[in-house]
Amino acid sequence: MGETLLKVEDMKIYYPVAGAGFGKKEYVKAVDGVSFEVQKGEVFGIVGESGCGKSTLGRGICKLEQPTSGKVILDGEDITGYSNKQMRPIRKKVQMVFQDPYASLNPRMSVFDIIAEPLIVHKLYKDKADLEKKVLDLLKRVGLDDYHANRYPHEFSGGQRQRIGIARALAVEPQLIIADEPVSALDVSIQAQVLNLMNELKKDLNLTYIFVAHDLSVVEYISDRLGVMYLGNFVEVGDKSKIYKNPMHPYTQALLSAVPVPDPTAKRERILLEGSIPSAHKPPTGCKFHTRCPKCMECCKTQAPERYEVDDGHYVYCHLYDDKIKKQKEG
Amino acid sequence: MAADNVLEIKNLHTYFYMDDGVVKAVDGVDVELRRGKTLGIVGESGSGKSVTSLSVMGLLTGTKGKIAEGEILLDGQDLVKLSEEEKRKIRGNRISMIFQEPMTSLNPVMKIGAQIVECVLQHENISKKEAYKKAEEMLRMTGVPRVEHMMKEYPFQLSGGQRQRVMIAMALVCKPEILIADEPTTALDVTIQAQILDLMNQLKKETGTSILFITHDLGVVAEICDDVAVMYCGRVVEKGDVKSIFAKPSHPYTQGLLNSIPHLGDDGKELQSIPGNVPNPKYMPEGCKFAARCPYASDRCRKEEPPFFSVDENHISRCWLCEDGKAAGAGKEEGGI
Amino acid sequence: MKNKKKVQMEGQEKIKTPVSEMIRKFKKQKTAVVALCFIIFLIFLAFFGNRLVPYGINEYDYNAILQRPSLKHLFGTDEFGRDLFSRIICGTRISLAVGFGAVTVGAVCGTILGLLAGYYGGILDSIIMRICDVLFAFPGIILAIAIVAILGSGMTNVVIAVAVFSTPTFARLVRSKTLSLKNSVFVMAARNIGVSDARILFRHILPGAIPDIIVQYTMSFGSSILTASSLSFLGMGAQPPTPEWGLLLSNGRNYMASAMYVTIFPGLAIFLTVLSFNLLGDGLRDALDPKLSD
Repeated sequence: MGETLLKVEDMKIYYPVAGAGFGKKEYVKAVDGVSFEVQKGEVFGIVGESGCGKSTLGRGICKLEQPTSGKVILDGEDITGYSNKQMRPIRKKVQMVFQDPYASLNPRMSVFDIIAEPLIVHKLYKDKADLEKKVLDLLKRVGLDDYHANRYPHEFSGGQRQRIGIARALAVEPQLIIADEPVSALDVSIQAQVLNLMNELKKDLNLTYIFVAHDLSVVEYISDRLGVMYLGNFVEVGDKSKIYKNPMHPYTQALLSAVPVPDPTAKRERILLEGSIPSAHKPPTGCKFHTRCPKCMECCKTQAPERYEVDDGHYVYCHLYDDKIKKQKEG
Repeated sequence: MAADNVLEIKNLHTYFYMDDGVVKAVDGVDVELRRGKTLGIVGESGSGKSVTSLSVMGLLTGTKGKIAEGEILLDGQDLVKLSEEEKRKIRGNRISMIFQEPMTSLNPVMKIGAQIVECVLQHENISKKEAYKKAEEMLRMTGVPRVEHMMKEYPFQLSGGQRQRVMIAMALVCKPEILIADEPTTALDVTIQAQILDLMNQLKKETGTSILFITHDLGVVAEICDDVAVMYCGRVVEKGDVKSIFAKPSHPYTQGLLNSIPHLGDDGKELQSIPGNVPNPKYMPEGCKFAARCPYASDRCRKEEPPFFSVDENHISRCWLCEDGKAAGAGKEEGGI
Repeated sequence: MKNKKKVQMEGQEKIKTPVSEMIRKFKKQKTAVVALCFIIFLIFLAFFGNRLVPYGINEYDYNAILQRPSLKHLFGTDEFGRDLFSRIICGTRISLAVGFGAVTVGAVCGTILGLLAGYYGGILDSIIMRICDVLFAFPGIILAIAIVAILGSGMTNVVIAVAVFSTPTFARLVRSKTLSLKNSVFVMAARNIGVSDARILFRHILPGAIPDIIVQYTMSFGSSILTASSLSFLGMGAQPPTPEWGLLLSNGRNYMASAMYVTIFPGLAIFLTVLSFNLLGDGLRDALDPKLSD
């Protein structure tokens, strides 16, 4: 612990919008200036609702989307400007597990070919027998059997396909795995199997995860630290225990209170947010959350909040925690 | 007791006749929906929960599915025996349904207002103007902003949560006795889900509509349902009062489901998952369908299918371990949880 | 592999490869199966027809000119007393060869162009697709006539002409398929592994486009046979005394009033061949469509 594996500095990913007026380019700001660090061996969770840019951020880190600006520093190496070709050796360090296990496996390749592909591409095997042995080992590692190797993805259930996707990511022995909603397409009982598998692999192989999800309880289960995203920015970053026990940002508070609890006797105060997420095409000025925030103040509408450290390693992007404004209010 | 049940499904069997065999999607389901209450049907994909709701709506035509046996009683009237035309009159009028994907269930080239008005005119003999007024009123009840505006908008101009509100307005505009909601919040974000659940609870109180709520999310069930039926492989394995089910889950499958969800505030305790996968519907095992994945399975479970045993007042479970009125696994751990 | 035995023990079902699935679905389409049988029969004729026919293709018999179909001459005889049956059977080889040559060349060129245009986009895409648009703007037969007019008549030039006009169809088809597959999650997953562009194109995208290419191939096969015959009919393709179907039709035209069968049988041969290729194409399309399960 303590050693930084990944550093993201002020990353922005904008998409040009078609149909904007003449000579004027407009952008969807999917990710709008995100900075964070991930330590070796930890699980960093990224939570947010759909459209907040969390998946784009994940893809930006492994360069499947080209960041508009900002820096990605992996293991001390600045990979921001790397071309596809330069990225190839880097892919051995970062791997991605995708959300939809149905779409992320080529339907025309057998499971053996799918898992063998990274080994072939990076020439990580001695001869054919070695390749076969490695693939079968990987299958066993993720809880599948030898005889599954000759089959095709459509014969597997969702959970099994996600295991195949994980085996493929593990093939190159990466240090960092970016998991983009890896369990959201699965049934709950299967979801637990995959989460447990990921936890186990992390311990055994000394992996670091960036875990992107919309399900707060899943993120709490697996992460050490997390960042809550809203409309392309983090609103709160910190240790899991701090954020879940003591959420500081009004959005985090609302988000946590909205999670249904499987206990019919529980009576909770729920903070109901009004409306839905504004479009990332024309986000609100100032603090992007101010249109739905129950604690919105005048300054929120015009001024974007800075980062405030409210506790050791617990950061909030909210004017409520600005000392000056606090004093003004009191005075 | 029977008098206050608005809907009773008795011994329903819905089979799909495929080229290479019969898939028994629903295989003997008995559930009752009490008037003015919400019944949750919980299960994972392939459990037959959605097919049950389609059977009630009579929406199986055009698929390879057919109701092979059983009765669906709406206020004592058997829907299975009705003709297509009679079923059509009931759909949207006395029973209506909202679906998981609000985008695909709305017509993309029709204005919102026109779609709701059409719904009204299908079942009520009133003028277009009155129907329009009624539609507007209903839409206002669902809490969408700028109602007059929205009546003239197209589905793609709305957000997911707004679309689901429009679907609810369409479903409730004819004041149906029963609303079937098939995973209505699954495609929505948590904050929007909270809004929609709130709305459904509130509308239930105002209109007295009974709700058949189909979901895989036990958290949502706890929030909105009065009664629960847990389905596995086309059968109900446990049903009863929501509080009793969550307090004393008695079927190992229900216990497994509850143990596999990470709870907020649990701080990364090891999750207990249910091992294995749902069996292939074409090769259903004999005996208890859950035996292959059950930690307590005995030889008897693999041979004989258990009947329902009473666990508590208003709470029954289809597990041999409940035979003497105890919950499964009660001897090993405290209630299994 | 050593785990074969285990497969039989544990897997209740046989392994379903994409190909075995396709065959299973194809078998259900009766018309397409009949069409396929007829095409196999044609291929057989193309190879062995000349050894089986009762008369040589250029066996003149001036005692039997323009005879009606009889047991001796199944399809009758032409104006030189040649046996029409034998000539049509031997013509199978020419028509199939022209179709095969032209469509194969067109499909290979079109596929490569389509892959490049779709995958790399930009200027390359614009250039390739504009050329295709230009070619599309001509009616196929006029284009073929123009090419033959430039290159001179003869079967080789007909093949080239037909190949040129079938290329853009393949290019456009493969390009659109490439565009959709390029953005699919599994191609992104392949890029994430670090797979090179060439491997993505040939290992991930091309196999996805192959079903469409096969369907288009069969469909084009029929239409190229038709175009080649038309060119011969117009005197720009095969030259007499080649027993090319279009040429046979053209010769028979002069005797339509007195001896209908001289035109009917070659016409029927063209018609049946083109029809069975189209039916086969239809059947393949349904069998290869992943959305139509069962």
